[in-house]
Amino acid sequence: MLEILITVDDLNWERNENFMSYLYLIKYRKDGPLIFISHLDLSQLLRRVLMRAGIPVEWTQGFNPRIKASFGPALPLGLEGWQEITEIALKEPLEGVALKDRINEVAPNGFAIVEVEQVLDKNLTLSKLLKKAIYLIYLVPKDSMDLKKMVYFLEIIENDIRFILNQKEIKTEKVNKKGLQEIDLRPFIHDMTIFSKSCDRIIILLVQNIIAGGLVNPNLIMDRLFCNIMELFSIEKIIREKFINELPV
Amino acid sequence: MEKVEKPGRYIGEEYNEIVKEDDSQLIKIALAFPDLYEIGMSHLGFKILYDIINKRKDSWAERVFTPALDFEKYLIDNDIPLFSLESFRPLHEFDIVGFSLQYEMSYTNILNMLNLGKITLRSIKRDTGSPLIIAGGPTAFNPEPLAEFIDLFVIGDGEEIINEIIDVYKDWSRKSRKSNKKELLKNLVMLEGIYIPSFYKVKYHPDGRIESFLKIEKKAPLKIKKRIVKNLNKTTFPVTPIVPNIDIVHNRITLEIFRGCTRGCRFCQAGIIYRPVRERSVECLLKIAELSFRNTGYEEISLSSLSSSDYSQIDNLTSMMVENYQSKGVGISLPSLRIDNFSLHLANQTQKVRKTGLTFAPEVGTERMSKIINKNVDENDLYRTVQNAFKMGWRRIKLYFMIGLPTETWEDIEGIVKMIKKVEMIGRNKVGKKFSLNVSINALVPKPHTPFQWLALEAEDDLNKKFQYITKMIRSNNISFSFPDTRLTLLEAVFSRGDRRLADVLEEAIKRGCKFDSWQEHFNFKSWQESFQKCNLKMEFYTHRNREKDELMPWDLIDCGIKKQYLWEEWEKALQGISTIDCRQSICHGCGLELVCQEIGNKSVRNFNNS
Repeated sequence: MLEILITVDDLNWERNENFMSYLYLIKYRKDGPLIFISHLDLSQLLRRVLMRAGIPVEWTQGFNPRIKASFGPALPLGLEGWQEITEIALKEPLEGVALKDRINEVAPNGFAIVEVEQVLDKNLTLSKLLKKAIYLIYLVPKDSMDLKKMVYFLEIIENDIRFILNQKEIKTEKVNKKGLQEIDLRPFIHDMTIFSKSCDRIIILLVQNIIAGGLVNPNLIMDRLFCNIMELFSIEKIIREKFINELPV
Repeated sequence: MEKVEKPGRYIGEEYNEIVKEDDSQLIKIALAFPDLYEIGMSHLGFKILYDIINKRKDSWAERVFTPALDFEKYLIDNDIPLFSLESFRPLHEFDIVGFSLQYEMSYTNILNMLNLGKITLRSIKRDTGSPLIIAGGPTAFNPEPLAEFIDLFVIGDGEEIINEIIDVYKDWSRKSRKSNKKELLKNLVMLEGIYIPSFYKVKYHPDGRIESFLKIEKKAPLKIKKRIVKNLNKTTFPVTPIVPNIDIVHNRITLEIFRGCTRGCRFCQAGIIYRPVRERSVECLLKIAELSFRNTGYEEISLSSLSSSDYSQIDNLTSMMVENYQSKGVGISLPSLRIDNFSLHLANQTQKVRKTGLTFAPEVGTERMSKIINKNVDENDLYRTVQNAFKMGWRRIKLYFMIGLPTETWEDIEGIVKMIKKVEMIGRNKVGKKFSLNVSINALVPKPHTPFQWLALEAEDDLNKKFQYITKMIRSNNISFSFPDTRLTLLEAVFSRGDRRLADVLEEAIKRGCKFDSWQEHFNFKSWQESFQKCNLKMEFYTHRNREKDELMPWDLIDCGIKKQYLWEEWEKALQGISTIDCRQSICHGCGLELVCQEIGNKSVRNFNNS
């Protein structure tokens, strides 16, 4: 759990009036074997996929040309992403469906484009667009539980959630390259509820605010806030379901 | 899995991975690389074999790498045998397991992988149900340290023989239902380039030298001739290499532009065992490049060989590659360049904008020594080239040297120091302080099948004195300096020229936990010393001993195509300081491959009009 906050990587070129590229907002799925692939490796992967598909990408100027692309907040290692975001610039317009099909044909397992949309308002950068992210956290009991026990723990979890939402700040420590650092988790947590419950699985829904382009690794929230039940439950998986876009009026 | 470092190493499912429908008829072959995923996946030979085997309908090649220590622990704790990336098949369930032999210090990893894959270590103790364990690669040219563990070694180029091995295996498994392994080996030994160690017995003199090899199987050859693929243009080359999801050491398309080298540097084993020189045509290379790019989307193509500036069409090829791929954001790289302005011109073509760095290997610091090792680099060439490099914009220069060479004196060491300082001064004069000079100095490890195979390794203390002296003398803000752990050099020297008796030591060493020996943080010299002691063998016997001309070497069963007599003559010339000019630019020196050269149309005297 090294990187917790990763800022939205805005398109790193100017979108002025002379900007002639065609911008596409791409929603993709990252799962299966790719859940362990870092953000850096993923951007490499995207570049290669685009090359294989023969997509007419725009290149950055400079010593080491890169494709003009920017990514939404990095997905922490181990998480599935169902509608991750990237934005790419092309030299010529392509129909969204064609773009999607051509890329998916040459994509490795674990990477698939879900939706492509041409971006018409060039002032709308990713950081302006993406406001919140929704996570699903799957908890499974380490040993099988009967209904009575499960109901008991559900109550504990519900109490925990209520407690969290009532707090003004939740300080925790995180380890990063600079060493130990204190951060406040509370502003990131927009909402939390129990999304689904059964005898063998509880799914918690977590809505996070994107602050300064960053999000918190949900594992950190779980470790910090549910320590009392985490001895009995293990996290089966965490999914980042989607981002919530707030279009300016 | 999340707790394991870089899980991407163990899960496969990369683009271009081959997964076949499991079928009991399919011959299942594990390509095993005795190092981490990132290293093994960078290796061209591995990709070639993966491609050839998987093109066959009757076989399936899968990959197995050495797990890192954390994953090894996970496997052991959960009693999971080491498995392949494609089908997660345990190693012991394969029909054939083939190890890639790239460097001696990976031998413990081979044994460790057999252990983790639940395969009995010693060939004679393995039952018929265990896989056939084969191995090939450069260090197979002295297979003896692994003779007790490997059923069969492949000597030389693998492209053709791998198919022959599979054909024989298939035939045998149909006829005998895999009942009689000895029969299989007897059939396989008929193929040229196959060494089956159990078909030979070795007798030793009381002092440990080899007295004789005894052939105990009628069908086995007296000498094992290495395989040579004669025409690289007609040989298959992988154009759908696997694209790893994680970063690896050489994350790029590798184009082998030619194989072999006849420069004749006397310390260099590759320069002998990969002979003769065989080039791929420009046309063929451009085709391979285009297909590989379309199938992978890679951002770099490397024009690889033992000495890329020696490719006859290098200028032409480089400019065409740059022209074809620049607009696609693909960089062209040229490793292994000579020290001259022509090479600089080539490097400038590929690094027009971004000058990443230049690497030169003068190896020695005096003219006398350059004649001894037959590298024949004029120091003024180096200074001129470096000067121009700085002028053209390079700011990072890497220099390789070697010490512990025959008849070396302090004057030669002083020569290296002077050379480094002169290069630094050129940098200072040209660009001030804004440059870096990376100096790497290694100790000569005498290798089998080279003119230095008779030579003793220099004493550890002397090597260290020299390294320390150089360190002291070249200290500067612009220079970074690296030299090896001489204890590791010592072990490499043991296994380079070792014999079969070392099997006991290897087995003992892995019992004591030795693995990943070439990784400084895992290297445990004390365990190695204890292992030698327990097995009653001395490292010094293998390392610090000058051999007589006629001493029977452990690798004398292997015929690499170059005559021992020729190597001896080269050794004598070395001691007299006489150089041998590359046969592509002079006359044929009669190294032993004359007939092959004739057949493939290699001419000795080059047309000088071009150069």
